[in-house]
Order: sequence, then C-alpha cells, then structure tokens
Amino acid sequence: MPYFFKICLIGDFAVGKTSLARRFLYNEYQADYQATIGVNISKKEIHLTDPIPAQVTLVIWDLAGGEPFTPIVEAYYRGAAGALFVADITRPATVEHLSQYIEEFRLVNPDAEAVVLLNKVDLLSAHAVEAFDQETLREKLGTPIFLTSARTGYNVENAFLSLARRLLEKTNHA
Amino acid sequence: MPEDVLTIEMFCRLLQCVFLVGDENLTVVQATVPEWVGRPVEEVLPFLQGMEDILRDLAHRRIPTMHMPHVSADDLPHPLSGYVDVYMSPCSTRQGFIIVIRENAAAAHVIRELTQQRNELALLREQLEAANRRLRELDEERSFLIAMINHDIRAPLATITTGLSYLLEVEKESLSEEHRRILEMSLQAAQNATNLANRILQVERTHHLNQRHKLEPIDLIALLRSVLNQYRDMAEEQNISLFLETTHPEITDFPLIWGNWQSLREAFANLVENAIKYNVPGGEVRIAICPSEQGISVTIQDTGIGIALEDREQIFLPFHRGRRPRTERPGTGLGLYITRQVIKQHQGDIHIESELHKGTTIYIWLPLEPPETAEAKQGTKGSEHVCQDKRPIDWKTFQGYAEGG
Repeated sequence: MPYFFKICLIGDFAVGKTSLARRFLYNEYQADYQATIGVNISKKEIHLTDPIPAQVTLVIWDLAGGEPFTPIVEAYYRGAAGALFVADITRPATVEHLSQYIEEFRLVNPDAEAVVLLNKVDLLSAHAVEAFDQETLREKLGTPIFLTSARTGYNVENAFLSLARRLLEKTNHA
Repeated sequence: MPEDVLTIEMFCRLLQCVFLVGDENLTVVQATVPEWVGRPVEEVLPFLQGMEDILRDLAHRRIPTMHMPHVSADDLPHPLSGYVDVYMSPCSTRQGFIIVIRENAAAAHVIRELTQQRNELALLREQLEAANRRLRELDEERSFLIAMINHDIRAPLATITTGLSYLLEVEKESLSEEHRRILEMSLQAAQNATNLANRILQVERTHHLNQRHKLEPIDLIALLRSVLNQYRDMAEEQNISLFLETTHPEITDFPLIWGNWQSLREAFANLVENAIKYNVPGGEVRIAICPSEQGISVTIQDTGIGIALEDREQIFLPFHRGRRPRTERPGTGLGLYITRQVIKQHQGDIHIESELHKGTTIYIWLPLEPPETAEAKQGTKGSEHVCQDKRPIDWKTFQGYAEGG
C-alpha cells in the first residue's frame, strides 16, 4: 500500500533548509545562498522496510525561512503529517527560535511528528560538536535531534528517513 | 453552471491561470482543461498530494479559503511553470471546492531578489553583532590584563627598584665591583620593565580618552613649557639646548585648543624625550608653535641621529623600534604610538621627516575647536591642515622662553 506524507522544512533563513532538501532529493549541494520565497514543493519516493515494508512518497514543502506566523504560513503548514525543524548550529539564535517554530506548527497540526536538524555541523570542530549540549535541547523541544551537514551529506538521509518511519509507524497504529 | 465558477472562468480568461472544481470525493467535476474532468484531484495537481484531508475539509466548509502565494513545484499543471499563487476555497453552490492557480513568476522574481538582499543584510548584521560581541570580550580581557599590570606587576617592580637602589646606595662601600655591576644591571632591568608597564597603561588611557577624560581649553605654550622643564636636567646631562619658539606676537594671548591636558602632555613628553635621547652631545631641540585660524601647528626639531628611511613608515606602530642606530638607547617602542593615538583622538595629525645623522622633525597639527565639533563641522581629516610652513622663524624673539620667560 503506498503512503503519501506532506512534510515541511521549517526554520530561520539561511540555515540550509533548501540545501538539505536538495541533498536528500538529488544528492547534490550548491554552495551559493539562494533565498527561498513562498514554498518549493518536491517529492521523493522511498522504500521502507521498518516498521513495515512500505512504499512512501514524501511531499516535501521547503518553506521560506524566518517568516512571521501569518495565515499564509498557516496555510503552508496545513495538512502536514510532520516537519523537519532546521537550525544552523553555528548561529545560536537560530537554535533558540526552534521552540517557537515547533509551537506554531503544532497549533496547526497538533498531532504531527517533528524532528530537529542542527545543520552545518561541518563548520564546527569535533570538540565544539562534542561540547554542544544536545541533551538539554532534546528535553526542551521533545523531539529527536540530528546533527547534519547538507554540504557533506552527513546524517541528512537518516534524518528524513527517521521522520518517514515515525509517520509510517503512527499511521499503522492509527 | 454555478455563479462563482462562472466568475472564476471570466477571471481566468483575463489572467494566466487555471482552475478546477472538485467534489467531496476529490474528483474533478469541472476544469479549465477538459481532460481533467473525472480524474482524481491529486492526479492532475500532484504537488497537492498529502493535502487530501484539507481538500475534504474545504469541500465540507470546515475550513475557510486558503491562499498560498509563491508556490514552485516540478510538477505544476501545464501550461503553468515557475512560481504560482494557489487559491483554495469551498464552493458556495455545491459540496465541493474550487482551486485557482495563477502564474506569478514576474512578481515572484522581484520578491525573491528583495528577499535575497534582505536575508544577506540580516546575515551581515548577525556577523557584525557577533564580531562586536567578540570585540567587547577582547576589550574586557584587555582591561583585565591592564588592571593586572597595574596591580600585580608595577607594585612588585616598585619594591624591587626601591630595594636595589637602597642596596646600591647604602652598601656602596662594601659591594665588590662585580656585585655592584650585577645590582646595577638588575636595577636597570627593573626600571625598563616599570617603564614598559607605565607605557602600556598610557596606551590604555589613550584608548579611553574621549570616554573617560574631560576635555578642556588648553594653553599649549604652558603645556610645552611644563614638558621642557621636566626634561631640562636630562638635556643638560647630554649638553643639549632646548628652545621653545613661536611666531605669535602675544604669548599672553595665545589661542587655546580643546583637549585633555594629561594625554597631550604625555604625547609631547614622548616627543621631547625622544628628541633628547636620540640627539648628539651639544645638539639642539627646537619646538616651534604657530597658531592659525583653525588650529595650532607644533614642530619639534632635533639635531640627532635621525631615523632610517625604512623605519619611518613603521615608527608609529606599537612596539616598533628602529633597527639602527636607535636600538642602542633603551625604550619600549610605545612612545610614538601613544603620541599618535592622542593626536588622532584630538582630531589632529602628526607626521615625521628625518635624515640620518642630521636630525628629525615632527610636525603636529591640532584643531582649535573641541575634537567632536571640529570633525563634524569640517567633515575632513586633520591631515589637510598640517602645518608644513618651513620658513625661517624669528628665533631671537623667544630665546629663553623654555625657562619660563
């Protein structure tokens, strides 16, 4: 049985949402920053074996970053089964804003799944990554956290697949 | 045909857009493209896959009209491409919904450019704020270091200097030649270190000149006279004559400048000290001061060893000391740096001319107006007002002035 899930990429501007989407969709990376307006919608079909064998189509809504929560943004969020909340690990303010994005998203989709991606991890030293307090952030946000790098591809697929598995599991339980 | 669909059809003829009407089963019942009729909505508009619940809610009027501007997708329905605006609304005359998709590439292009610029500016602002934060941290670290120098280094150095001076004086008779030499070397080293610590504190003071120090009207002649008096003994020891001269007819009516007495005095003291220290026995130091409408020029001319051409560019950099032959004289390499900082903070200017084995001349210009006002009013740098008038001055009029006459 095929599954379709609308998922959103949400976060501040220039945190790498579009780069993450492109890495996941086409396994490519573009270094130049190109601002997104409105929403870019793309699809990717994946085959999961866990929790059940299934063909899943992720309809990925890559939203413009840093927009205030208006009825238009609410319209973009509507119908999403889950979201990837993205922050730039080198810009603390973008991490701080995550809780607000999650809260606004849950106002529209109370039961949606969420995962957090701390992107651009390649720009930090191994020591700085180790020193980053993931546990406290995880407790605060109540979501799984993935350290990712759209540039190197590190952990990008894992993050998307993790969300897809959670959505599939939830749908099956329902 | 329902009235609202008719309206939309008319609208679609005017603008580049398509529309469809879907029923509660998400099947197209009416559309701009006749082939769409009878097919599932998510098949003709695949970018809306995953939105089935929303479409059903619209069909049953559980949610109001939705507007989604600037949507781009790989699978937009023909003939649309690029960016589109999507309007989704419950159908007013039947159980269903209407979707209108309007191409909006031109406006989207402009908005995208503006957004790009806005975001890039915001990123730059973030970077600037981060750099400012780092600078503040560094400034705090520097203040801590300065406080440490002031408290933990100068005080022990004073104790060491006093102790060594005492030993050299009191135990003068009992000390062997070697022991005396060792003590003298130690005393010299302690004095040099004290001098360096004092200079570093001077640098710190110049950094905070405008914040901490009150500006006041200053009589430069009185200030220079006080500096010359300070160095009179040093000059006599080296058999060097000091002169203070001016072309101004009335020394009692000399124009005042706005500045900080302590900082300016330190700046001129550094220059006079250098002019004596790097002079030759029997030499001269002449200070000429000439007022003009906008400022005062001071020239300090010595007959000393001069500064090599290759050192002249770097002479105002911190910790720079000339390679030859100035290295024979003790110093910290901070004096001229401090002097230039002080002059700059007074919106003045300083430059140097020198010839090896003939002497050095320092030209300084200081504005008459308070520093902030002068800059704002003139909108120019002080360098345009540097006095480079090298005409002979009537020296004899002011002989003996250095002694306070």
